[in-house]
Parts: sequence; structure tokens; C-alpha cells
Amino acid sequence: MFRNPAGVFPLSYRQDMGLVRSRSQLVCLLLFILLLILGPWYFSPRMLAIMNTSMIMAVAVLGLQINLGYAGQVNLGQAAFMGVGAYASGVLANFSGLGFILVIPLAGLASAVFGYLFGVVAARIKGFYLALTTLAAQFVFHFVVINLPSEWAGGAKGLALAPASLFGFQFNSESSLYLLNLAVLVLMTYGGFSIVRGRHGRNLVAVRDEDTAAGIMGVDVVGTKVNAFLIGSFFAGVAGALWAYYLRYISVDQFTLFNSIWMIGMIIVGGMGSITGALIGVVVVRAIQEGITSVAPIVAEAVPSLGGELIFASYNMVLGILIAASLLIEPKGLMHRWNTIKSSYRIWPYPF
Amino acid sequence: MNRPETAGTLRQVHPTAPILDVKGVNLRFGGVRALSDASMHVGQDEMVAVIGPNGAGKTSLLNSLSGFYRPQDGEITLFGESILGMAPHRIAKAGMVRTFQGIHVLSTLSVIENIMLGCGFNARSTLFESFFYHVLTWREEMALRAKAEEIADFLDLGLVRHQPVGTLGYGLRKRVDLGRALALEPKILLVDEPMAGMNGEEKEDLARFLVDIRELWKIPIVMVEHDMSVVMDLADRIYVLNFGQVLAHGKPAEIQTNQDVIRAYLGGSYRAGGAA
Repeated sequence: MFRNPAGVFPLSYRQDMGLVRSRSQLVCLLLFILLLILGPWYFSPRMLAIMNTSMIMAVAVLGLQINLGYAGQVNLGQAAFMGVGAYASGVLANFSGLGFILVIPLAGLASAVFGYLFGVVAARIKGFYLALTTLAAQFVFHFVVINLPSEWAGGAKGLALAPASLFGFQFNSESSLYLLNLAVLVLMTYGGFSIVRGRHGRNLVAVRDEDTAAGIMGVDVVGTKVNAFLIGSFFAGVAGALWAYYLRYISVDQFTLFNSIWMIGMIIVGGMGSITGALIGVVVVRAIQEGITSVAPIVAEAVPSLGGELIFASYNMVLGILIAASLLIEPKGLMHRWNTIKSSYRIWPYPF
Repeated sequence: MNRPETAGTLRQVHPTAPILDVKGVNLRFGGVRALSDASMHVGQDEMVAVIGPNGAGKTSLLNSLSGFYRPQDGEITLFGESILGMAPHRIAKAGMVRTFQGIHVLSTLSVIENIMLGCGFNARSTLFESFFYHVLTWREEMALRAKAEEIADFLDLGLVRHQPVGTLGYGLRKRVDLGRALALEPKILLVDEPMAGMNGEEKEDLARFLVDIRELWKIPIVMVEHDMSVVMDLADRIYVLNFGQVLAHGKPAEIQTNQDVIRAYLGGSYRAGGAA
């Protein structure tokens, strides 16, 4: 159950429903964001690169969290939705010459249109069958991109992009892209929080918990399921656009089923149905991934009989172990554990 | 609390017309006839009870009214307009709201969020506005919250408002379910076995809330219930269903003395005025 920090007594509904409850929370939040903004000045180049990919991944995982964690609509194709966003931004940037400020939201919308199709399907089927259908998104995406004329999307060769630029400033270094990604991530996190705490968020949860009862409560079940996919794929599309501007070279191999599964793993580790949980999941899983990348070569050198395939093989194993372990130990995710700790110290020393 | 304006104006327009009119409804599942030629009507401010032995079709009737089942033929009109084949959420928005037999509350949401979910049935903020938590969105949210608080006050749920409904006891959950139904500003309320599984005290509380709702909101209530003492005390009129057909209908005293009903449902030992 949610409890306010000691000494905080909301006096209005607005205060009672606010995300930031006290002055000290606000200060902490602003300091944390400031710390992130100053990142390029103290992160090592490798750390900066890790942060960049993590932040892009985080945007897509936020969308998946709303789609899967809040609305309960299984989606095994988030990487494909991200890919649609990446290709849409690539094609838009190359052919229309629009600035990235317009290209990023348009890529989100393009992906949302693709997601809409699956939302309409989700209105009819549930669970296992929906999972299989979204799996198809992955293959449809791959098939379509490879078979489009190569002048459009580059086909199997992939697609190269010019760097994003704003008033002559080129986003072509790790640190400038870091700031761009951070800004978009902060905006999308804010948007995610706003959606889930408003009426749309309540509708999503209603459809997840009891979709027949939700209809009786005046919730448009079909519309809500479609919305879930619209939001999820919009976030994925934005992430895809960031990815395209970050690598400036996109190909279908960057958006595989494997990536989609990793994203679901991040949500399971962080906690279903929590925006903060999604972010925590990304941080934890990415830290483990990078840990493997660092350790595996050392192991491979020490034990040459294991061979060079070690890194990729251990990625698979660790993902499996991680998902199984979090489902066994804390099925509601790290965020749930954190909330339990938080509410227990807030009611200390009278835990009744 | 203010009752919805619409209920008053509709009464002036159609002073005598029944609010809900069900004519010759047939509902079949394969070879099984769940309802055959069932008819009922509900007028202003009436408390109508539907009773019958297990499997008589009471819940099927309620499910047909609320749009879960689509009867093969017959006519269901709400305020003179046919609602046959309408989606459940549209029927709810048209003013016919129901509660459930089991517990169908959203256990992860808090009490106040559950009620706000109902209140939000005609909210208009778009996804785009919500994304930015636009001024309009939060004003709307505050209005929903204020309305939800009124209902929570009415049902004495203020103390548990921030608790997830899943952590509450059975009686309170049923009350949340009722609160959520009230949040939809019903013009007619359908309650499916509200007393099932409750102890005596909880039953009395709930019966009082139903009486209060009727007096304050001036809306008709259709109640499916097994507890005969509740039905006989509260209902103005009773419909008795048996094998999907309306066996009898009338005032509680008439039903208690109706020989068909006694044979079909109340059992041989039941006598007028006695306990069930």
C-alpha cells in the first residue's frame, strides 16, 4: 500500500495525486537529473556509449511496460516496432530532409500505425495467441524491409543516415548524442508517468485485470487494447529513431526477436506495471550484459577450450537464468521489493 | 449528494413510461433454452427483485440486459430505445449499470482509483493531452477525484481509500463494486446477488445502502437475490423465474402466497409470512 513520507500530509487532491510528494523528493529528482546531464564530463567513453544504448533501450522498454505491464497485452515484437521507427526515420531523413525534431515524433507515429494493426488483432485474441501474433511482427518487419526496393530502405545492405543537426549544430559525438537521448528519455518518462496515472492508465489496468468487468464499468475494452499498442509502439518508434541517429546505420539484424525477449526480461526483472521498474530493469540488465562483455574475453583467454562463442552463448544463458531467478525469487520485480522496503521504513517503528 | 439531472428530466418527459422494458426475450445456448419468452418491466423508483431456483436464468437475464449475452429474439428497451446488441460499455454509458455476483473489482488499483475508473466513463482527455499531463487533463482528474470522494463518503469507504482493493475484506470489496457502479451515474441499477457470501451485519449494511441509493438518487434497482428475507423486505415487486420463464410476478405478499412459486422454489414448508 502506498504511504506518504513521514510529515507529508496532502491538503488538496492535486497534492494527494502528485508524483513528487515533498520538497526533498523534488530536490533529489532535480539533482539526479543534473547528475545525468553532467554525465559527458565525467563518464568514460565506454560508459558513455553504454549509457547511450541503455537510454535508447529504456525508451522502448517504457513503451513495452505500458503495453505489457499495464495493459497486459503480450508483445514479443517490440524490437520490430523499434525497427519500423528506425527505418521510418531513416527514410524520412534521407528523402524529405526534415529536421530530427520532426523526424523523431513522425517515426514514432509510423511505428504506432504498425502497432495499431496488432492492437486491432489484440482486441480479438488474448494471451498465447496474441503472443504468437506479435511474434509475427518480427518476421513481417524483416521480410518487408529485405524485400522493399533497395533504393528505399537499403534492403539487406542497410541504410545510412546523416547526423541529426539543429541550427547547424551536428549531433555526431557520443556526448552530444548522450544529451539528445537523455532529453528524449526524460520527456518520454514524464509522458509514461502521465499516461499511466491518468484515466487512460486506469483503463489499461482495468483491461489487464478483468476485461469483461472493465466493459461494464464503461471502459471501451477494444479501444483500450488498441491504445495500449499505439502507446507501446509509439515509444518503440521514438527509440528506433534515436537508434538510427545514434548509429547512423541501420539494418534489420539490429532488431531481432532476441532483442524483444531481452526487453521483456528487463521488465520482468524491474517489475511489471511500474514505470520506474522499467527503468531499473534496463539499468540492471544492461549492467549484467556489459559485465559479461567485460568478463567473457578474460575467461576465454584463461580457458581457451571454451572458444570465442562464449560471449554470445553466455548472453543467452544469463538471460534465461535471470528471468527464471527473478520469477522464482521476486516475481513482482525489483520495484516491488523496493516499495516494500520503502513502506516498511515509512511506518517504522509502528509496523501495524 | 446530488442525483443526476437526467433522471429528473426523463421523468418529466415520460411520466409513466417504464424505464426498462423487456419483451419476449429468448436466449439459447445450443440446445439449452436459458430464457424463453421472458418479459419484465421496471418503472420509476421501483425496487424489483428477480428470484428463482438455481439455473432458472436470473443471471442470464441480467447478462442479456447488460449486453454480455445477445438474445436470439425479443426486445429490450431502455428509456424507449432498443439496446439489444449494444456493447456492454455503451449500455453502461446509456445509464444501465450493474454489479457482479462474484467479486469483479480491480484488485491492484486502490479503492479511490476503482471508483474514479467508473467516474471516468465520460471523461474526454485524449492520449496526446494525457501524455503531457496537460492542464485540461489534471483539471479533469481533480474533478473525477472529487466525485469519487463523494461516492466514497456515501459508502463509508473514506478510511480505506488508498488501499489496493485486493487487500480488503469481502464485504468492503462488494461495497467498492457498488461504488464503482454508482460512479457511472446510473439511471437504473442492476445488482446481481449483492448479499451472497456476506454475514448478517454486512447484509444489513448493504441493504441500507441500497435503500439509501434508491431514496437519494431516485433510481430504480433490479436485484437478483437468494436471501428471501432481504427480497421480501426491500422489493416492491418480484419476478419469479423458473426454467427461463417468468413463473409469476407481483408484490411480495402475492408471491409468498402463490402456489406455483411455493411449489417451484420456496419449498413445501414455506408459509405466507413465515421465514424461508
